[in-house]
Amino acid sequence: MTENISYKDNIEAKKWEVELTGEIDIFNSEDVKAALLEMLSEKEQDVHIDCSALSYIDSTGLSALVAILKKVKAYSGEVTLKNLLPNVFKVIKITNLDKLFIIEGDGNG
Amino acid sequence: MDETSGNDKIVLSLPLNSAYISAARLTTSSIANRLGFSTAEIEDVKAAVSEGCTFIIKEFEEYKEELFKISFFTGDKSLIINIEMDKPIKELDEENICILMIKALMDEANFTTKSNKDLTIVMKKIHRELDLF
Repeated sequence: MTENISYKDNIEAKKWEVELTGEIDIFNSEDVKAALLEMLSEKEQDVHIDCSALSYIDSTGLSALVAILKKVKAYSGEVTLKNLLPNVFKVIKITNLDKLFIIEGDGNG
Repeated sequence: MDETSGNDKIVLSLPLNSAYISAARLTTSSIANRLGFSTAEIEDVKAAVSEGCTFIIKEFEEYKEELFKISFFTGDKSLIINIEMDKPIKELDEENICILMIKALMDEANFTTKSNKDLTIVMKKIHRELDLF
């Protein structure tokens, strides 16, 4: 698994708690996507992604998140992105993905 | 100590390898910071350059051994960046997400070609914001 992602199963809250860190771009976005898909294959439940340590994400990283969102929506789950840094929030907003994901926090980190 | 003259040109040559896009982002941040751009403006330029590189790497996948070039032209209140690939592009899809993001993040973004033998993405960012940090 790439070092840019870690996750754990919050059994009580019935959700995956994911942490994305560092920079996600074309170099590592496929690894991030593969790790998230593997996670979902273990258990189908809501996904909460903490982005407080995610300093950068590009269009390929966003595509990986959208692929995960499609999987989760297929079993009527939700994907929440929280603690977005302003620059990450901006790219999510300009691509209109703020309308697809649940965003927690105001994008000020 | 020398200051930036306001009209410098900096050129970076990179292989068509995604491993080096972070080097393009670092260089972009450094130059934009030197020009006094705000934190938010630096992030915009950095992301636009990264998307430009991603676009070039994806579109010219078959030319793995080739280099592409990023040129930075500094102005008093602006930064112009050209990302050039010296090979013909099959078809330019202006609805590509990389292109749309560049257009959203920069003040100007255009594409030029010399007789369909190459592709240059030209982008410009004007320094407006005061950095309060």
